[in-house]
Amino acid sequence: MRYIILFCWICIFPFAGYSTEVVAEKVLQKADSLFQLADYQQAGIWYDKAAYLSVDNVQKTHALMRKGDCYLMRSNYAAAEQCLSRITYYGLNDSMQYAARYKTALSAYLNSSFENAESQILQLRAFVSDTLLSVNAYPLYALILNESNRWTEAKEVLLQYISSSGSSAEQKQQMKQEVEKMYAGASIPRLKDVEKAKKLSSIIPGTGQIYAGYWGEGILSVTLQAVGLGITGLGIWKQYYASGVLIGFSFFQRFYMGGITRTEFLAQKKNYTLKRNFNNSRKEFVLKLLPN
Amino acid sequence: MRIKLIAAVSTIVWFAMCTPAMAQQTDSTKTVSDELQFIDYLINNREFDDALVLLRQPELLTKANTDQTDSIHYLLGWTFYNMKQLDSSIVYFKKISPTSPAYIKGSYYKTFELLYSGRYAEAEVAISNLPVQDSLQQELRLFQQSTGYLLQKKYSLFDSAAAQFTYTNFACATEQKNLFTYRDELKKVKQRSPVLAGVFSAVLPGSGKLYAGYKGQAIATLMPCVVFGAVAVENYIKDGPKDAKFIAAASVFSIFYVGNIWGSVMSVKTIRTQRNNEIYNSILLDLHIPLRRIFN
Repeated sequence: MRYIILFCWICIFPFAGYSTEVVAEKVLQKADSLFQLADYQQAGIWYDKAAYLSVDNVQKTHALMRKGDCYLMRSNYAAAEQCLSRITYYGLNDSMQYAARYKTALSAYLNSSFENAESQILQLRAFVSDTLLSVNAYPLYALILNESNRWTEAKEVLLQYISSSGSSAEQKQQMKQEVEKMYAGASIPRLKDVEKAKKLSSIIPGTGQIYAGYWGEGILSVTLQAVGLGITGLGIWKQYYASGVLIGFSFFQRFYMGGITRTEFLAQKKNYTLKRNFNNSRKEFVLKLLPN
Repeated sequence: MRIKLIAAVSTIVWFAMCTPAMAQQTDSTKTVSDELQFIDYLINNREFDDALVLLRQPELLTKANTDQTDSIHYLLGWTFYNMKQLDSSIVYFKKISPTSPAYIKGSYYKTFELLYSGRYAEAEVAISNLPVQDSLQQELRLFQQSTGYLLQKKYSLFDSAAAQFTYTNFACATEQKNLFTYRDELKKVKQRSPVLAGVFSAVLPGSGKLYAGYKGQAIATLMPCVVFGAVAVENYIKDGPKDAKFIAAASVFSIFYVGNIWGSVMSVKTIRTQRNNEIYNSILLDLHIPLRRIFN
């Protein structure tokens, strides 16, 4: 019996090299070497091959994450997001799940898919039981919230992150003060109400543009509309009724309607500028907090 | 003792047999059939660029046998189809040999792509060469043929082809019935006369647009003509034909008036094309659905 078992072992041994796990591991090594050579497209293909050959979900997830890295290195954020969406989270431990969800959220953020990015962070918070790990995603979460104009929530998230960081009490205090200063009520952008701007322009021409912060355009708009009405009045006074009413009033009406449309555009432009200026200036600070 | 000896010899024999086999195994991931399976996996995961990189490796075609070459052509066609590069897809689907298992799917998709691209003459040839192995494929072939006739507005040919529908197959019965609705809608698209539209607009600015079917644009065209026409008339009455105000107003009116006639003539063709395109889009969408039901 002992020899039969021995014989079986001898028979099984040569097949060890055929194991898909071993082959996948070799493919992964090849992909790593290509990645180091900065051949990201080929590396991505080999990582995908490793994912294809892997039976173990951890190895498969690792390979897909590395493929995501290849896309990120090529600045192809949409492809990175799509590739990472192929990860299945069944059977992954906390650190692996954190890494995968974090990378997916980062790709989605870079691809301007802020809803998906936030969804990944929320799932990360829900499914990664180790809060010391999940809190590391908070700086990215703050960046995502900034883009959704939810600055108060972003501030809270950053404060939570600083509280749980390993910095000294003094450093924490300093960072918290910086966050409080950056997100103080006065510095948070006061976005213009687009509908209100339109209403203002329809009631008193030019005021919508002025409300949106464009004084010059507001004054020009009201002047042109006054000229239109002036032509109308002049035409009636000089008894050129058709010329006065039709040309003058058409002139006024064109600028009146155009002024409302322009106001909408200007209010949106102002909001975009305010948001970008605020978010860009905060991004630098938040990026320093991001874990490596 | 004898058993130990047998075991030792067996070990040596196994190692001797398996060492080259293992080396070959490391290489086996590169074999054509493995590679094609992997490419198929990439396509299923929408990694089309990567699939193309692998499919375009020169050594892949060199190493491939006839069946595998067909598979390569099929996968290239399928990748380009997914990337919506129909011209390239057609080229590769055409290269699949009739003996390949992918030939049927490739042929039907190629026909779809030809119809979609408006290459009707080529589509007709492709339809006549479509492989038909069962009643389902017969129905699908008839469906594609009828659709081709409808897209070319060959109504009598459409009617005779569509009369052969049996509607027995779930995969395309609904779309077959829809074709008759599209035929009626295409016939209903009014054949307006551009000349008449121009004449209408000459008599009453904007009325040509109304005749063509653009109600909103009719008023928008009428307004500037009325405004500048009225101003010109007023200045003519008050200051005579040599007055600068009259000449300016009449010139602007003339520009709007001529533009209104030209616009009405053009709008007849535009609205017809627009309506036809809407119906064509529905037809092409329906042409696609049975293919996906049957082959995916």
